[in-house]
Amino acid sequence: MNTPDKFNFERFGLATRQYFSYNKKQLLGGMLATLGFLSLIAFAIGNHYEEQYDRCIQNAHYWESPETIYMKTVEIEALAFTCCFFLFTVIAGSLTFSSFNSKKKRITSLMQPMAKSEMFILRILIHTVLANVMFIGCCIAADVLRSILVFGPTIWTSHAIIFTDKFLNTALPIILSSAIFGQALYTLGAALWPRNSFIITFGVLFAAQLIFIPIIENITDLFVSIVEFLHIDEILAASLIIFAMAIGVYWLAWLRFKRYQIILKL
Amino acid sequence: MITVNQLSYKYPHSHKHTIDNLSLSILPGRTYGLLGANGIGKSTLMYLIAGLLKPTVGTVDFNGTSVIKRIPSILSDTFIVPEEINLPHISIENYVKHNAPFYPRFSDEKFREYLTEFRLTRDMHLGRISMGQKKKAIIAFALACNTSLLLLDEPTNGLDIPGKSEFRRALINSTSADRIVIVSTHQVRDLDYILDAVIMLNENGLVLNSLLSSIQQKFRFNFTSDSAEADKALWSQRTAGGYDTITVRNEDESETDVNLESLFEFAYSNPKIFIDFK
Repeated sequence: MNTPDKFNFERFGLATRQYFSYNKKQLLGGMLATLGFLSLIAFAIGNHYEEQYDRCIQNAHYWESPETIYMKTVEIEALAFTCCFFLFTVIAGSLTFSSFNSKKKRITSLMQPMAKSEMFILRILIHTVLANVMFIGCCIAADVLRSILVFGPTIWTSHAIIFTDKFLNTALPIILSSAIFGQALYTLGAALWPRNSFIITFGVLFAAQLIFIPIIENITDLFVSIVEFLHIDEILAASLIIFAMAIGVYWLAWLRFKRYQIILKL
Repeated sequence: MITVNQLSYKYPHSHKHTIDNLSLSILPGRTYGLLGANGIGKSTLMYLIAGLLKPTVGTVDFNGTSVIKRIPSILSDTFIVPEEINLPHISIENYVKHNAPFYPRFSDEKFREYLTEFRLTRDMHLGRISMGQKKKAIIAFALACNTSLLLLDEPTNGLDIPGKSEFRRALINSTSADRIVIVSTHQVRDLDYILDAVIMLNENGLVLNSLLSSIQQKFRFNFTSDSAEADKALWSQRTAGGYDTITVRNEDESETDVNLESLFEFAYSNPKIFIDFK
């Protein structure tokens, strides 16, 4: 194979296969752990509402209908999964540059004959795009397992369509863009501090929010005024702005990654 | 060819430069020994040559290209075996399958020869063999990549006695006219008969960058039990049974093999002798 110096798809494919071969145990373990965790949450919610459902069936004067209990099951589960999604995305983001978290690993990784863009995009694709898709797959699997083994419909059955439709049309864009933004921040943290990335990034963001909250409040007021003036959908506009900010944060992570040496200086 | 030009490097939080205003040329077709005391900057220099550290001042070029850019065409023609190796937990077979494609000049035939030399097999799992075996496996792969630049940092650390002989044989068999091999070590006896040139560093920088054949033409390395003879030598050191000595070679005298340990001690204690020595 010739050695082109710019981004090369063939080499990128080789690197991707190499990455999966090296890390297959960790990736599989992570996927199973995610599925197990989500299943436990789903089963706990299902069990709780199954008791209510049984009481409802036995007592004709129960204050809730069976359909309401069904709806609550999937609503609470969707809420729980959404919270888990936020947590999962930041953990996945903080692991993006784990193969650079020691001098020994950095020597091996940096000497890999690849373009820096290939190294960066490979890790971003696996730890953000692929990880998020995997998480959603685990949510679906946990949801189906719950409905089969415990109680209640899946999120996708007709009982839940009304809820799902509302969810997709309103909450989903803002949830996705916010999660991606959070993931981008933790990816930037991983680029800055590959070792103990999650804890350090959390600490920095916690401190930063004390400074930035007043600024964000003012910007939010300005944003609401502009959206009202222009008569555009608030949720969509906010989602697009947050997503654009996420792209900006990924760009900062790239600028940092480009300057990697075996001794990391800020 | 590697060109190091006015190179300086200071580690973060360090008060002084580990490498300070170093300039030298490293030519292909030679195996260089990079010698120096502990902490003098041998590994640092190797990392700078590999492009793993950005110089504070100065440049390092490999065949006219700055190494700090770390472009794939240079990386695929460079291999570094660091002192502490990091290998994935897969079989040697899978390691070769996933890494060889990145090195266009990788030779599977040569790799098989080196594995045989090192008494390893392809089905061995890198996560389950000893550190010495891992080192041999990565050295075998490095040699088989046929890169124009091969950097070995303390390669014999962790190798048993047969392993060191195997390493020497494998390295001698892998030399070529367009290849630069730089071996950094403080165990000079492990490099007997495999070096063509030495680069020696001390706390003031470069002491010596010379072919061993040039040193052999200028100096004789002897062993004597006669203390009077030792006193007359340019340099001498007491050893078991007598003295290692270094004397100036007369033209009618035969050349001797270079005693690297003696050369090291001599150059350290008399660096001015080697200014402008080529």
